[in-house]
Parts: sequence; C-alpha cells; structure tokens
Amino acid sequence: MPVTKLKDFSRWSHLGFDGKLTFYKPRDIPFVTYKNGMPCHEANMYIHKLLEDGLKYQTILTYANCIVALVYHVESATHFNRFSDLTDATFRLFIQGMQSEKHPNCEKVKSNNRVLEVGIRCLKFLEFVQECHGLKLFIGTDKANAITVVETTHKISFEGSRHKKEVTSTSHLCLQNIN
Amino acid sequence: MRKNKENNQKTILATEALLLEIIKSPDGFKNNDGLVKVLKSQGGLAKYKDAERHIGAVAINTVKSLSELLLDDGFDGFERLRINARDAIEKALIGKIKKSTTEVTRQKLVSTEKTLAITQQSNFLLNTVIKEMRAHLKAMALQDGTDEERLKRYKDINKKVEAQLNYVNYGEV
Repeated sequence: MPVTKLKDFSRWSHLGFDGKLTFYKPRDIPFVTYKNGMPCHEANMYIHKLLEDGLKYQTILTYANCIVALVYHVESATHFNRFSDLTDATFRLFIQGMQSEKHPNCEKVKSNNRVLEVGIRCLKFLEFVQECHGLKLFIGTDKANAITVVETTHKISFEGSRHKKEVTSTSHLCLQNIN
Repeated sequence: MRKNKENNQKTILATEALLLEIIKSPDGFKNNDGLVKVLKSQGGLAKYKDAERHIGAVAINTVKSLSELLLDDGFDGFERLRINARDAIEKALIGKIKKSTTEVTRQKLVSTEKTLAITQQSNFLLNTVIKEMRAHLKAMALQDGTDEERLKRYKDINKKVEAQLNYVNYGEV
C-alpha cells in the first residue's frame, strides 16, 4: 500500500463572509503512507502544497511516487527516524541504495534517469520539509547545511523571441556523478 | 404506459417491505416453499408475483434502475436485504445460520475499506489544519501591529479553524 488514491476529495479554500467554508471542486488526490500503513505527515503536507500550486492529479501522483522512495528509506533506516535527521552521507546512501536495487533477474529496478528524477524530486521535498518545520541549516547551498545542494542557473531560449527565461535547478553532488 | 410504470414502482416498494418483514419474523414465511426458492437469486425475486401484496413480475433491469431511484441504499441495499432475508429464513428452518463465508468476508472487506477511506480523508484534512495553523503562527510571530490587530486576527483564524474542525468531524460546513 504505497500510494493510495483518495477519491473525490474536497478541500476548503477560505471562510466566506457568511461564516461558512468555501470548497474547491472535489477531485482525486494521492495519499502517502509508510509501509506499515501509518500516514506520512510531511509527504501529505507536501501533496497539499502541490495542490495549492494548482497541479493536476497525474503530476502529483508522479511526484508522490518519487517521494515514497525516500519515505521508505527513512522508515527502514535504523539510526534515524525523521526527515530532519538526514545528512549528506545518508542522502548519498539513499541514492546509492536506489542504484543498486536489483530485480531477481539482475535487472536494475530504477534506471539512471529514474534515480536522477527521484533524487531531484526528493531534494525539493526536503526543502519543503525545512520550510514547513522551520528548520535551520538543514538543506541549502551553504556548506554549513546538513545537506548541501548545488544550484545551477541556466537560460532557456524560446524560438522567435529574444527573451530568455532563467531557470534554477537543484542538484546534489552524488547526483552529478550518475551516468 | 404510465399505469405500468406506477405498478413497477409499487412492486419495488412492496418487495422491500416484504423483505424487511421476512427479516423481522422469518417464522411466518418458512413454510412458503415458493418464496424460499425465489429468494435464492436476483432474477428469481424480480419475477416473483403476489397479488395480495401488489407485487408483480418485473425484469431484473427494472429492479436495478428503480431501486436506485426509490431506495436510499440503491440496488446494493436491495441485494443486501435479499441476502439477509434468505439467511433469516435458513436460520429459522435449520435453527442456525449457514452463512456462506465468502459473502461474510466480502461484506466485511467492503465496510473496512469504507472506514479506511474515511479515516485517511479525515487524517489528510487534520494534516491540512496543522499545516495552515503553523503558517498562521509564523505570520503572527513576524507581524508588527498593535495588540488589538493581533487579537482580531487571532479571532478570525480561530473561527476558521472551528469551521474546519466542524467539517472534519461531522461533514458539515
């Protein structure tokens, strides 16, 4: 039961002038639990954040399926049990664990590109966790952080337009060595 | 044509009443061999005729569509009534229930899944409440206004949280 689907979930938007809650249109949302069935609060809060950003169900589901790998890793780890206990070394271990996962017929469970995708998505999720819990020095570009990320900016140019869009992408040292 | 429709609707309601009566007091019906046979299948029950109770023979599809329209629980509820009535008569005949275990397990599974979905939904909503309250908390800590403003803001937020908790607990707005 990794990621379950909540059908026709309606969430509130604001309190109206008549003192009643106003709701958005009901829609399906994913719901993340640990392997033992306990709901994972951080992940579900992240899903709520994605909902507020206005993403569609399929997109959120894709993201949730990426995050669930990290959720399981944190659950099965013996020496720490919270997301905020993650460090550079344990994150590297998580990535390497994903790379070495094999099917019984010796095929890789996740391809290199998939590992990259999951890793980057998890970094974004951890940034959210830092913001949500109000943590200090957990994840960031500075060396003092427990998880040091590398931010690179690159420009995307559009055909037929002189203007370029600047995009910042987040990565980690151990993700840059893949391939 | 209209007369026919009316009769069909009457049939459904009368059949429901009959089933409820059977469940309540199966002893009065256990010697009615025709009825016992009829309760064994969906189609059989649809074809059942009883002039006294205003029950006429209808097609199974009519039963399905009309029960969705007329009964609170729809066709599923109707089907559950039939199975319960059948079990009640069997119990009266043999003295103990010979419920099929697959049916019991299926019913249990359905109800458990329903509770799980409700629990997960309320968990998510409570999660949302926590997240939003934390955001408000941070905003309160960072704001620079008079005490009155802060109090007013607190009252607004409190009202909102109350409404949200009402919704989570009772499903009311």
